[in-house]
Amino acid sequence: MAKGLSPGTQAADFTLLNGKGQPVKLIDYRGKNVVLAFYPADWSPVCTSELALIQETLGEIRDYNAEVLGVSVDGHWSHGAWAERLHLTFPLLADFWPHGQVARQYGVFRDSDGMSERALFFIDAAGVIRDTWVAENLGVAPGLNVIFDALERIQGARGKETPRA
Amino acid sequence: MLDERVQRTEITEEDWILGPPTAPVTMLEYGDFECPHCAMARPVLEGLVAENPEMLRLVYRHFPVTTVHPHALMAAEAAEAAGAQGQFWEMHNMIFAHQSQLAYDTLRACAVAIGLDVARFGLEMEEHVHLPQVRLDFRRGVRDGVNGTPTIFINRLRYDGPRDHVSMLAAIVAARKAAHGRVRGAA
Repeated sequence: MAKGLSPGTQAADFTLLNGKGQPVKLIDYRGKNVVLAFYPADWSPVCTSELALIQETLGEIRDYNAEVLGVSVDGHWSHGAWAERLHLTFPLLADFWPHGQVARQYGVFRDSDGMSERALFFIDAAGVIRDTWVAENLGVAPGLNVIFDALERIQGARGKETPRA
Repeated sequence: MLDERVQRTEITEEDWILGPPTAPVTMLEYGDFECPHCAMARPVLEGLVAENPEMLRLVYRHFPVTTVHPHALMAAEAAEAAGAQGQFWEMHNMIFAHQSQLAYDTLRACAVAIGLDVARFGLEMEEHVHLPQVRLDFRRGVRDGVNGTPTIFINRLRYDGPRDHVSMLAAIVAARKAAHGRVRGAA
């Protein structure tokens, strides 16, 4: 895949505000696997669907010693309101200013419209990017198999066949 | 880079299937009874099956997204409870028709309307007899790569295109042609 930081590279560290306006640092997740989920926009239909599915399977994702961080260029006030609407319990991070800086660091910023690609970076406990997924079509969300296949490759097969629904 | 859009699980005799087992094209839907996009897709999918009885069958599996749809899980259990009495599709249709008001009382009224043994329905709902089946469907959906509701597979390939009659019929016809080519190639 041409787009985005490649597997095997160290994940670029960043500090962004979550939906409560608190700073979140990627490096503080060392020791955990991280699903870094860039999405184009709060409130949009496909992103709503994508993040709702992640929330629905969050327990199974955590069974792989993993946490999810959502990232978009929306501000933290929007993140807070949207997370409340969708009952999201994982952090949404505001890549708001400098606009899209973290998306640029990860190679998934879209100069054409100022949003990020829809993209997943799977970062292991040592902070190394192990797998990536970038949507070919912004309107199509990743299948949940993308997430669980990647986590299985990082962490082993535990939980794969028997996630709680 | 991983991106597989292929259905991994097999269709079994335990699945809810509308249309003939010999149909060359199988459409698998993962649906959520409280999801408006699923309700909009329903007449399109069922119309395609009705108009192409030799060609197409529809399989329905549950994928309730409970954090945004608080009634979806109970509705899925209700459809399974109706299925245990031989009326899955009747209940499926009733539930979608009452999508905006899926409290238990509505589900029970649907059960009455389609003539279920309501005492049995009530007991099975109370004891969550059919919850394991719904959970199984959900797990199969995760494996197959559900990416929203509804997620539709046409002959095992995920269909991410528009869910209107013309677009879907074109995809189904293409899938039938591909299946036909495989059969001839194998002969």
